[in-house]
Order: sequence, then C-alpha cells, then structure tokens
Amino acid sequence: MNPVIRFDKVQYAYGKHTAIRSLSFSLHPGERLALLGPSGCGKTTVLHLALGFLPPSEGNIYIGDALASDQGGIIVPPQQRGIGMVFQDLALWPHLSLLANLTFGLAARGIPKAQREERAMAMLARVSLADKATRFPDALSGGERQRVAIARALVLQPRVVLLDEPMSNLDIDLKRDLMDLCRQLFTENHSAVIYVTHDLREALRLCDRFAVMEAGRLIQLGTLEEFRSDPASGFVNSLLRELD
Amino acid sequence: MGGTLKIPQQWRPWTMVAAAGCLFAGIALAPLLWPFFGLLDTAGPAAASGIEASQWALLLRSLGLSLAVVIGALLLGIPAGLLLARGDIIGRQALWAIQVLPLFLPPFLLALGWFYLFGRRGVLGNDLSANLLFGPVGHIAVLSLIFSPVVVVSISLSLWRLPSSLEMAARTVASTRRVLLGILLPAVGPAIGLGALVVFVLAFSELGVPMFFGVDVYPAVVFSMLGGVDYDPARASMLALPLFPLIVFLALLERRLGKGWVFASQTTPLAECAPLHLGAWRTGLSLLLWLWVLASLLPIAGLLSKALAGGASGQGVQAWLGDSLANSMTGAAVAATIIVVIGTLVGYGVARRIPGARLFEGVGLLAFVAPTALLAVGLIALWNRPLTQWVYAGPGIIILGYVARYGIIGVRSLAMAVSQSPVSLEQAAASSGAGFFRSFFCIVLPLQARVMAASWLLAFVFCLRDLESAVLYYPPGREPLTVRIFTLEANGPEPLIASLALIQVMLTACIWVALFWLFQQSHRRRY
Repeated sequence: MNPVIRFDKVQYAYGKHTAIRSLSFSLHPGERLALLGPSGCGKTTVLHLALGFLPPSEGNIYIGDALASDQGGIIVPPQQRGIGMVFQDLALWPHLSLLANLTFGLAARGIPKAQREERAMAMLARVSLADKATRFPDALSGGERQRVAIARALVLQPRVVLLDEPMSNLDIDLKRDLMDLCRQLFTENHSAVIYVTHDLREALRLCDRFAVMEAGRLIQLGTLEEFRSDPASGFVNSLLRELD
Repeated sequence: MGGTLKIPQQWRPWTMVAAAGCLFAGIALAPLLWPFFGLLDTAGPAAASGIEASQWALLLRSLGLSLAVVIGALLLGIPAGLLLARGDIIGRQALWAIQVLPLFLPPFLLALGWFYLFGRRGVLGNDLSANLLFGPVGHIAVLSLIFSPVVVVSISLSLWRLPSSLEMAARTVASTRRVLLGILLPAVGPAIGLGALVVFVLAFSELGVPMFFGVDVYPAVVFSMLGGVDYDPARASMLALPLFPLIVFLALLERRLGKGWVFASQTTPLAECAPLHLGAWRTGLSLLLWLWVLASLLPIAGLLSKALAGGASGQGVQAWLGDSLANSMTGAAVAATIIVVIGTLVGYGVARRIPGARLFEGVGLLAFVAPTALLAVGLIALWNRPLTQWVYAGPGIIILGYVARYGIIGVRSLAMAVSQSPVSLEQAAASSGAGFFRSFFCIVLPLQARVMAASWLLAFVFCLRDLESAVLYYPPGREPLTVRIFTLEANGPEPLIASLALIQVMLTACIWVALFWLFQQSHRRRY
C-alpha cells in the first residue's frame, strides 16, 4: 500500500536558523504516528510543512503519489491536500455556529446545502453535540470545543489528520475520554494520524508508532518495543522513564 | 496640623485615575451638557419658537448624506482593507501607509484640490464635472474617498490581531477567496461596524466640505448662528439639542461594536504571518488598489498645480500665513500633550479595570461622537463669561475644544496598549517592594513610551487637521492654519491659497512619516 504522506529529506530554515534537518518518514493509511519532542524542536513546523503552509528549503513532500511541495514552493495548495488539522488553540471560528464551523469546508468543496448539513449533523451527533448545532463556540465547555474541533477536522473525511497538542489544557479524565473518542473516529474514518505531543503516556492511548525529534532532527522512529530495546538518546530515555 | 496628606496604598490607583478623569469630564462633558442648562436660563423666545419643520428636514437630509458617505467609504474600504491586510498585493506596506495620508489632512483642503482639478476652470474640469462636484454627488464622493482609510485601518488592525490558526484552519479546506470572504470578513464584522460609525461621526460633523460645495447641512445652520450674520447662541443651543440623543445612541453602539468577538490567543497573530497568495488575481488587484490610492492623492496634485501656476511669491505666502501656522502648531502641541497625559492615566484605569475609569472613557467617547456644533455651542456658553474671558479670548478655548473632541484618542490607544502588557510585570514590582506610583512611573510608563509618542503624534495630527470645531469658536487673531485657509478661500488669490494648503500638507506628511515609523516598530513582521 502506498503511503498517504511522505517526507523525503526535507529541510526547513527560518532565515539563518535551520528548524528542520533532513527529515524523512512516511505514513500509511490508518497508521497513527505520535511526534514527540521538547518545546521548540520543530514539531509544529513539520505539521505546517505537511499542510503546505510552509515550503521546504530542501527536499520533497508527497501526498499520495503526487509531489505536493518541493524546494521551488507549494505545488498542491493546503485546501487540496485532503489533510484535516486540529489546532492547539482549536481555532474554532467564533462568529460561526457549530454547524457553520463544520459546513464551511463542505461548502468550499461545492457540496449542496442539504447534503452538507446532513453530513455535518451526522458528525456532530457522532461527537454528541447535535443538540448544540446552532450554538456558538463561546457557549461551549472546554471539552465540547475539543469535540467540535475534532469533528470539523473529520467531516471532510481527510486522508490524514494532524493534531497539534490539542488536549494540553484538559484534565486527565477528560483527556482520556477524548482520546478514546478520537481512536474510534480515526478507525472508522481510516485516517492516518500525526499526533504532536510531548507526553508519551498520552501518545500511547492513540498511536502505534512514535517519532522523537530534537533540535529539528528525527532522532528515533519506531514502536514502543523498539524504543525500549534501543533508546537513541537521553530524551528518549527520559520519556520511557515517565512510563515506569 | 503639619502632617502631609497620605493616600492609602490601595486607593492610589483610583485617586490617580479619578483626578485625571474628573479633569477630562470637566473639559469634555460640561460643554455637552451646558446647552440644557443654558436653555433653562434663557427659556424665552428661542425655546418657545422650537425647531422649524425645514430644519428637521435638513437634519434628516444631513443624516442621509452622512449615511451615503458611510456606504461609499465601506464600498471602497472593505475590499481594500481585506486585501491590504492579508493579500500579497504588490507594494502592500507602502500602499497601506500612503492610503492613510488623506485621512490626516483637513477634508476641506482636499475638496479645494478637487475643485482646482475638476472645477469649471480646473485643469481637467468642464461644466459637467463642476456641476457634479458642487452638489451632493461631489460631497459624497469626496468624503467617501477621504474617509475610506478609516475602514481600511479598522479592518487591518482587527485582522492583524486575529490568531493565525483561524486563517490556517480555513486554508486547509478552502481557497484564498473563500478564506477572505467566508472567514476573515465576518470575523472583522464588528471592526467594520466600528469603522462605519467613525466615518458617520466624521461625515456628520464635517463643515468645510459641504459649505465649500454649497451643500446644505444641519451643522452649517448651527454654525451660522454662532459665527455668522444670524448670530443667536440661544437658538443655536436649541438646534443642538436634537443631536444629543443621536450621540448617546452612537456612543452605545460604539461600546457594543467595540466588544467584538473573543478569540483564542495562544497562537501567533496574523500580523506576523505571510500574506495570502492571490494567485492570478494579484496583478490586477494590486493595480486597482494603486489606482485607488493615487486617486485619493490626486487633489494634492491639484493644489500643487495651482500653487505653481504663478502669483504666489514667498513673501506673499508669508504675509497671508501670518501667525496661523504657529497658532496651529502650538495649539495642537499643547492639546496633544494634555490628551496623552489624561489618556495615559484614564487608559491605564480602563485597562486595569479601576472603578470609574470606563465612565471617564465614555465621556471621551460622547465628546468624540458629538457633532462639533453641539460641542461648540456648549464651549461658547460655558466659557464666554466675564470671569473666564482669559480662556475664551485666548488660545485656551481652542485647546479645550481639541482636548474634549480628541481626548478619546489618548484614552483608547493607551488602554489598548496597557491591556496587552501583562499585569504580572506590575505584580513583580509590587512584590519587590515598589509602591503603586513607583511601579506606575518606573514600569508602566517606560514600557508604554512608544505608544505614548504615537498617541501624541496622532492627537497632534487630528488637532492640526481640525477645521470644523475651531472655526466655530476661534478667538480673533488666533485662528489656526485650517481656519485661515477656509476664511481666505472665498476672496483670496488661488495660488496663495493653494500654497498655504500645501504647507499644511507638508507639515502633515512629516508627522505621517514619524507615525508610520513608530507603527512599523511596533508591528514588525517576520516575513
């Protein structure tokens, strides 16, 4: 099976500072990868490169078989990549109702009004928020907003879903419930997932593969067993110690 | 009884804000309320005769004209604002800076420039263009063009503060056009409303342009009863009264629009993000925007062509200029200084939610949205008394008028700046043993020095461009440059008038450069 997204020796520099160094990895349909690393190691930059918000300074990024970005710039624009994103601050549009937050992307695809409302309502029902479809984001609790953000990312049935530490501000119980919901939804949707976090315990609830970055470099990529048998750095060791 | 007055520590912020706020209220609110008391005193023939039906009709007509200006400014300002704030327009930063310049100039001067271009004897003029210019069409078109930057600035400032993730989330699913129209435009809806409101206020108060183009407006009738042959201040007070409910409505509307949407603020603001790619539309849209900006600067070319047409010697210009330039500069400088001092203290109170501060801010808002005719009637009634002649017959009355009308600039800019500065900085000073005043003067003020400088320049330029309020109560021999040009225009030689106007333009351009430099310093972009 071909990968849904592939980074091939990707490098990215902000001016003189190199944020990402020769990054290569691929993700297959349904695969869930946790991207771990300390603050400022380049995790969010990887997501922005995948989405097409930033062009690589070197290397290529493929979406499916198509070259999506290269050194020359963005070839496939963000809205045509089939990638959904859950932002750290959720980025719910405060002036749109929950239903409108979900139908915005469907409308951009040219889906007729009746169909897009049906799909959005079904997705809201899936995250138990159908009864609040006409409400605005500021009328929701923190956990409900997280569910809307996840629903908005999934309503377009993306090939890949990116999550940028969206649960960092939640308490443990709420986080656990949401992770379980995410796992169910991603499995139903057969979406590949890149989940950015700095907490391995959290990553274990959702992901089956793990990538650790430090200072813009991919230090280790593999399963938990591979990490345990041969930790590549002190940071990986400290992550594993948190599990004990 | 030799002890000094000691204000308890917890009362010090409130005392400081209340002192500045009461001074501000005395300057700005008293003239607004005075017409009521004045009418109680002189409830005679003037009050009994009421307002004539034709004057009510004129009031409605003036409101209609102002609404038309708002619509014109929105039609120009909304697309320009969205594109200049977020599109990859060619020369975007330069365009943004240049388009603001006409807003800083007295509208009357730009009307004069249009007249030199499209008047009957203008460089490009003919009967048709002159007929269009001297009537409601010219009035609406000229003011729409002059005030459209208000909408652009309002949209830009609002957009640049939005979290970038809102736009990114939209870009993952939609094209640039849909992101601009479907997400960014509605997100800045309250800012557009606010811009429209400011345009309405400026258009309704405008006196120079309608009088020059021969368009009857309500404020001009009040003006004629304060400074013209129909001198009747009591009747002017009566005519000013219907404006009071209007300003209360506008002030409440501004408060409502000012709240806007609440955005998450964990991510980088849009000001620090690369603009959206407009693709194939980029060149065409850039061209349109450059044409719009050049059109708004065209009247300056008109003034220049008239000044260079001959007949304006350096000595002649100096003689006609008299003391008006010095009057303008000193009046505006003193007023701007008072505005910044009051604005810093009251603005701090607003940002830190000190009780009463919002009330004083509301006073400034009322005075700003009040048509200048109402403010002028109050100022004259309040200060034209034997005991206060030293204020009324000197530059003091002009300075008081400026502070009342433009005080909100200082309050709002400092309130916004202080609210963005973490309160923990002051808490850290307190935990280090600093009292309130030490913390205020050593921590808060140095951090806001740049905003205070920008606020001073902004207040200075607004006082400098003021014609509509100063013309109503300037003391003899103390008229500012705008009033001098306005009063000389009817009978003075055109090249000399144009030269005086260009002096005002050059002075404003220097301040505009300084302001833009300060603005760039505080909005440095990463890309």
